[in-house]
Amino acid sequence: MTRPAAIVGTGQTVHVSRREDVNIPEMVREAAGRALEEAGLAWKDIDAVVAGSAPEIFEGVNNPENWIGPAVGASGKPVMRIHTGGTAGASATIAGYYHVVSGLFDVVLVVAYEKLSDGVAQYGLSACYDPLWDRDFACGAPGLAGLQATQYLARHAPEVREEHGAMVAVKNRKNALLNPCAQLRKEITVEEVMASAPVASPLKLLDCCPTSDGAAALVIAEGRRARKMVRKPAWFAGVGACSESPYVPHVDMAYPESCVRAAQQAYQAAWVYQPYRELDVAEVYEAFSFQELIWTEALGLCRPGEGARLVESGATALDGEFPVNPSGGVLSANPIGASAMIRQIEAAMQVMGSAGEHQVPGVRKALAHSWGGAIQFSTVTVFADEI
Amino acid sequence: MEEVAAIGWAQTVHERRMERETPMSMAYRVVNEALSSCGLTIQDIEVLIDAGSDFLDGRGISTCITVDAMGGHFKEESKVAGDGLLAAAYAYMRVASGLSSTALVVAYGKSSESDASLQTATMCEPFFTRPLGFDGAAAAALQARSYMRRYGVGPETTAGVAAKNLAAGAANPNAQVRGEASVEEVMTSPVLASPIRELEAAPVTDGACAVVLARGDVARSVGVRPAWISGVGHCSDAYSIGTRERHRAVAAAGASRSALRMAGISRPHDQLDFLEVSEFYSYQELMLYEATGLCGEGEGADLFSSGDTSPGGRPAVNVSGGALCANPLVATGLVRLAEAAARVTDRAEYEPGAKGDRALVHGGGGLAMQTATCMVVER
Repeated sequence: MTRPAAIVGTGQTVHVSRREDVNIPEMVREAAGRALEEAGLAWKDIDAVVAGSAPEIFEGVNNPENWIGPAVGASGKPVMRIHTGGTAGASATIAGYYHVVSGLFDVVLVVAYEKLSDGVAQYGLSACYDPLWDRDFACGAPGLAGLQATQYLARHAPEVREEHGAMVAVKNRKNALLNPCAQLRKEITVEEVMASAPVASPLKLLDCCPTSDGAAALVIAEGRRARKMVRKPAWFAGVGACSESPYVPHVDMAYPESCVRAAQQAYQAAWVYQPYRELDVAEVYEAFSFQELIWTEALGLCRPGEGARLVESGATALDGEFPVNPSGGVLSANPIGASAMIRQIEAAMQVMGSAGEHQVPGVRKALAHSWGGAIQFSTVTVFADEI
Repeated sequence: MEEVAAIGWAQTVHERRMERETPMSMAYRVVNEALSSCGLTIQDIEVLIDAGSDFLDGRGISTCITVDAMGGHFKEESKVAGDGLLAAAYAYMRVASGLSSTALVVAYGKSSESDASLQTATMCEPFFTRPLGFDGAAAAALQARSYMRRYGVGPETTAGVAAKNLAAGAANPNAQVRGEASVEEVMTSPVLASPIRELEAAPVTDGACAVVLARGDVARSVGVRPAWISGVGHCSDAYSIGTRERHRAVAAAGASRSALRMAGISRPHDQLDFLEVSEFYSYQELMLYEATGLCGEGEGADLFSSGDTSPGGRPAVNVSGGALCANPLVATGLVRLAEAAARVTDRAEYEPGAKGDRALVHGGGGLAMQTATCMVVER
C-alpha cells in the first residue's frame, strides 16, 4: 500500500510581463515563502526540494536549480530539477509526490518559475525544433498551436467555429478579474478577439497567452504530517503522465493520445469513472484558446467535438455546471515553466477552499492538466478532499 | 518501501567524438542492449526517466526528439536535468513507491559538439560571475587550491591519482582514454587551470548509458543476478564558490551519508568492497574519499598513499578508470552505477580488476562538485 501524500501549502507571485525588481532565485523565493507560510513551516522543515523550469535557453542559465536551490533553503539538502517543457511544473510536482510516496522524504518543497523577460520567448521555443531538419522553418509555439487549431476546426466544422475559441478567451479573461495573481485582468469581447491581429491562422492575438515573469511553489507532505499541518489538505488522488513521439505521421493534435492516456491513468487511480459528473472543477493548460476545447474532450469531460457546446452553453463558466479554469488559465498568465504547476496549485486551492474570489463552492475533486513539448507530453493530476 | 534492484545495464564505448552518432542513435543502442542484458523488452518497462542537458544538445527540451528513441512513446516519462545517477535516484523512487514494477533510466551526452569552457560557463551566475570568464575548470582550480593548501597535499599526490586511474582505464574496453601515464608525465602535462594539469582532468567525451531498475519480485524472476540498491541519497551545496567550504565536498558527504545510513553501513572503509566515483579532476577523488567516510578530513592523501584505493586494494576506487578515462557528461554518474552493478553481480564483460559484494557509487554535477548523488549497490 503506497502511503498517501497531500499538498499542504501553495504560493504564487503576482505574474507580470516583466519583473525588474528581482532575479530568478529571488522571484522563486517569494513564491516558496508564501507556500511555507500557508503550511505553517519554516525553511528548515523542508527535507528536499524539486524544481521545475522549461528550456534553460529562455533565461540562458544552465542547471538553474543549482542557482535557485540555495535561495530556497536547500543548501546542504537534496535538490532535483525536472525538465519536461511546458509540463515541467507539473512533472516537478509529480516528482515531489514520488519523493514522498517512496518513503524517502516526508516534506518536500516544489518550485517552478519562468522569467521570460530575460530573453525572447519565441526564439527560445524555436530552439526546441531539430537543429538540422526543423529549425530553419521553426516558428515558436503559435505555429504549432495554429496547426493544432486548424486540425481541430477542420474536423468539427461547421458546428465548431473560430468564435468558439474566442468564447474561451472571453470566459477565462473574465475569470482572471477575480484572480489577484493573474497578469491580464481586463475583460474582452468575442468581437474584440475576432478582430485582433492574426498570429498564426486561425489564432489571433487575443486567442494567445501572454509571456510572463512568475514563480509558483507548493509543499507536499506525507499523510500523517499533512493532517496535522492544515485543516484541509489537497490529497493526491490520481497522478497520470504520458509522452508520445512527435514524429508519428498520424499524430492527432486535435485529440492527443498522450492526454487521453494520462487522464485514464489518473482517473483509474482516483476511482473516477465519469469525470464530468465526479469531478467538480478543472484547470487545463490552454496556452491558446482552442486548446481548452481540445483538452476538455481528450480529458473525457465531453465527447469529441462537444467542447464548443460546453463553452457556448456557459457550462464551463465560473458559475456553470463544470467550471474550467476559474483562475483565468494560461491565457491570463504564462510563466511557462510554472504554468503547469499553477494549474495544480489552482486545482488544489479549490479543494482546500482557499481560492478566494474565484472559489467554486463545494469542490471535493479537482483536476489539473498540462501539456508540453510538441504537444506530446501530458500530465493529469486529480486532487481530492479526502483519501 | 519496495526493494529495488538494477537488473540490466549497458554503455557505449566512449569516444572523443562520435561522428556517426546522434543522441538518438546512442540512446537507442544502450536502451536495447540494457533491455536484452536482462531479457526484457521495451513493453516490460512502465516508466522511463531520462537525463539530458539542453545546453549540451543545443536545443530546448531535447527530449522532444529523443523520447521515442529511448522507448518513451506512450509511456510515463520524465526528464531529470543533470547527472544520470540523479535520474536513477528518481527512478528508484518510482519503483520503491510500489506504483511501478520497472523503470528504465537513460542518460546521454555528446560533448564533442560544443566547447567545454563555454558549456560550463553557462552554469555561472549570469550578472557578476560569468563576465569574469569563470568556468568549470576555474571553479575546480579554486577548490583544488583550497583543499591542497589546507591539508598540505602536493601535486605528486593528485598526479598519482590520475596515474592510478589512467592505468586502471587501460583495461576497460569502454574507456575513452586508454593510455597509461606515469606520475612524471601527469605532472609535466600542460597546466589546464593551476594547479590542475591536463592529464588530471576528465576528457571531453561522447557516450551514453542505460540502466533497468526493477521491483524485488520482478528482479528475482528475470533470471539474471540483480544488483540490489540498498541505499540512495542526493544533496547539493551552496551555489557561490565564495561561500562554500571549498576544502570539503559537502554535497557528496550529504549524499553518501544518506545512502550509507539507509544501507546500514557505519564503517565505509571496512564495509565497502569498492567505489566508483565521478572525479572530474584528480584532486576530487581525494576529497571524495573523505566525503564518503573512507577516511577522516584531510586524510585523503594518506589513504591514497596506503594503496588501499588502488586496484587490488580494498576498498579499491575507480577500477574502471573513473571519469578521468571517460566522461560522457550527464551519463558519467550512471556509468558508475553500471560499472559497480556489473562487478557486484559478476556480470562484468571484461576482467573487472576489483570484485566484491558491496559498492558505493557517486555521481556529481554543478561547478566544483556542487551536487552529488550516491547509491549503495550489493550482491
